[in-house]
Amino acid sequence: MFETIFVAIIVIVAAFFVGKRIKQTLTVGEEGHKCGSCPIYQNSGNTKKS
Amino acid sequence: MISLYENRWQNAYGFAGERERWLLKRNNLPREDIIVTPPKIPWIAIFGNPNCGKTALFNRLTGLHHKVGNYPGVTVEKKSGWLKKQRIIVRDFPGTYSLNPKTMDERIVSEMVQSWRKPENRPKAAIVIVDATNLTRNLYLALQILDWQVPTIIALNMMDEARKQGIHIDVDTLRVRLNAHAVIPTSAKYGEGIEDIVDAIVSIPGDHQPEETQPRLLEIERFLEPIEPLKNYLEILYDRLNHHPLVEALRLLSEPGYINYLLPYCTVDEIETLRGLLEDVKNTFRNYDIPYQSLEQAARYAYIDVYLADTVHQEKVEQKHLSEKIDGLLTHRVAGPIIFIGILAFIFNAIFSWAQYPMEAISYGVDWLSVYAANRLPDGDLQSLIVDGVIAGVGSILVFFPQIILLVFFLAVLEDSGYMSRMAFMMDRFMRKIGLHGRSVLPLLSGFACAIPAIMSSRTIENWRDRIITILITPLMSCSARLPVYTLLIAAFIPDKQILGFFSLQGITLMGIYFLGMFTAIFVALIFKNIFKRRASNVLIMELPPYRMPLPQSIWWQIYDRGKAFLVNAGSIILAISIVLWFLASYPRAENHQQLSAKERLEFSFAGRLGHAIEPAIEPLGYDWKIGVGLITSFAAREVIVSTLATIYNLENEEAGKRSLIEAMQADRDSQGNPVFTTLVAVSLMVFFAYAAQCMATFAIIKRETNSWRWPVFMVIYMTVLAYLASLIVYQGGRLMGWS
Repeated sequence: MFETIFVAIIVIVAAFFVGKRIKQTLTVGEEGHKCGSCPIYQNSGNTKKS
Repeated sequence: MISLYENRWQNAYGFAGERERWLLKRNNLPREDIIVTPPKIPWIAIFGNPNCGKTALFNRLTGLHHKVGNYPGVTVEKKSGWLKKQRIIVRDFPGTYSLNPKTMDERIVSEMVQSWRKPENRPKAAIVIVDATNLTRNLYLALQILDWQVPTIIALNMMDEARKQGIHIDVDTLRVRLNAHAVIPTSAKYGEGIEDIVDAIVSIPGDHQPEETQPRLLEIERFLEPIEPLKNYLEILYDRLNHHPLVEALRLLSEPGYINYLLPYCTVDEIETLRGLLEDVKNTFRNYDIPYQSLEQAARYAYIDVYLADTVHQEKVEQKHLSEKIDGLLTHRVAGPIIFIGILAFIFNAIFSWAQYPMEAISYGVDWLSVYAANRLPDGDLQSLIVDGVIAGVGSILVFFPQIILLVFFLAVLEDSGYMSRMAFMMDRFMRKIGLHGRSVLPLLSGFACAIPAIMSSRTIENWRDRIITILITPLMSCSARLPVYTLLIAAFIPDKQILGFFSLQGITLMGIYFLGMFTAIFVALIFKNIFKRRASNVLIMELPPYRMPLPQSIWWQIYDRGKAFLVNAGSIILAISIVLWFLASYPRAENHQQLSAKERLEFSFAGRLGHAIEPAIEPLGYDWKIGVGLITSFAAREVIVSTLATIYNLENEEAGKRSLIEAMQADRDSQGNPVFTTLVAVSLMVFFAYAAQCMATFAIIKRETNSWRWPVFMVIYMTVLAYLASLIVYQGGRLMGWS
């Protein structure tokens, strides 16, 4: 029983993360390009501080 | 008429409302371009011609690792960072030859400078980076910036190359004649002069007041009389326009629509008066047959010739520079394309052969972990989730890490050495023949790494139709996310034979699929060109950068950034999708779950039902329901089909961890006992992936760059139809010819 609940929680968290990521990617036009919103392209460093 | 600029200042420090959105849409501008630097924090603006080393110097000043490249147009949007050890923001702007914008990236620079009419929008200093090996041409932009009376530091970049070419610059005389805050010899490549720039920035007092200086123009006197009324009227407005009246008058003459920049600072009557005066001046020049549009250029270059040219001395002039000699061969009409194909064949061959051992090592590690987890965890859902979902899903993607690194390495070397520009130059001949603009080539070539920056770099294209066509065809270039799909299928179903003794058939197949995307992109562009009916064909004027030895740190940061992105992606979204997919492939469970075979359990699951539901649509392409599930999940990211297949085959295989994904695919049989995957199915699937628009990030970036849902939706429709039809023709055509 405990195992089933534990696995269910993992699956729900993963599904939530996938949904959030899809939403984040599709709203790139509203908020500007985000690091990691596409598989390859990203800018590193302290850009966010500014 | 209310201009974009008027509206902008009503919404000075942040995002604007509906009205601004509408104006942005009308002007086809991306939204983040209206962000204005918050007040109070001092900031520095970096300007310069394309490919003069702006981003390299920006990286030196900030300690960041933004992508640099040995070709013009790497930076198409502004980038910000903190000046090292200082509370000063440094902003890197796209390269431009002047403040008279023609393309979207140049407009970003021009509009930022226009905002300096308000003193609170001015930067603490402007750094204009000039290429010391080509000083006179680079100084044009510097003169335009200097006339805005912002403390300006001129960085004479690439001094190491200038010295090698025997070029000597009298730095002190140049500083005095330009009346610049500082002129500093630098080499962003070797870090020379960076501390001097920081010292020069810090030495500028916080309450610096602009000095009244004469505009840096010459031989304009003979044209002054007709301009005089316009100039005099602009002098009355000087306290609001904060830009020299003569320069302003010349800019009004040279740039159609420049008057829009003045709208927020003038009343309606003043604008009408300006329009009238401007028309009178233009008529006067027309009567004398004087090309008034180029008066500023003439006056600026006269200033450079008379006052500045003698500050540069060249000791020796080589008869023919080494780069030109190499170009004679690499851009030759016959030898050039042969060498180009040879280089690509070498790269794709190396991606297969060099990556073999590290891939085997990672695969071995994943298998070991899988067996270890299966042995340590008790049978049940948790064990299945970890082994069949997480390890199989993420592990199957991680195996391709060495190939991704190799691809990025080769692309970085091609870019940084300057060869990418030659590729663009060679392709331009062909592109012009079919009526496309040569500026489309560099974005297309960058699409080999990722479509996102490639689509963004289409901002350098002046013509709107050319830009839209380039945006729409860029996703056809095979990006690195497709590489795992191609190499998985090639490794499994294309024999590992040698051709001509040194080229592997697998490498040639990989090259072929990349060329397929490239030539299809050109073919599709040809169709779009006829649909969109472009009026005139512009000639590509591209500066070929000299060949340079790629800098190890630049290569390293490109590999690091993309390698890290790949691993982060595998550890986040692919991990999450693998978990969700495991659930979909494991539930619901039949009442007689224990009596069913693994294959029957899988077919009973949500994933099995979903796959079977779409199977009739994909069956003509040669795909079974498992591939169908992979096609659906790969809309999140193309490579997810690999982890999807790994999870499904792991769940189907009762001896988890005993068989690799390739072995499972080769052994898979349908209900009649025929192989599910054949060479023909593999080729059909590769063609589908070469054409299909399975990338949400690309969809989103096209929406952003075009400010419309119309174009991304159109892209998805045409690419999906193309992918389906092409795969159908490949599979059914292959079967008719008796191939399997």
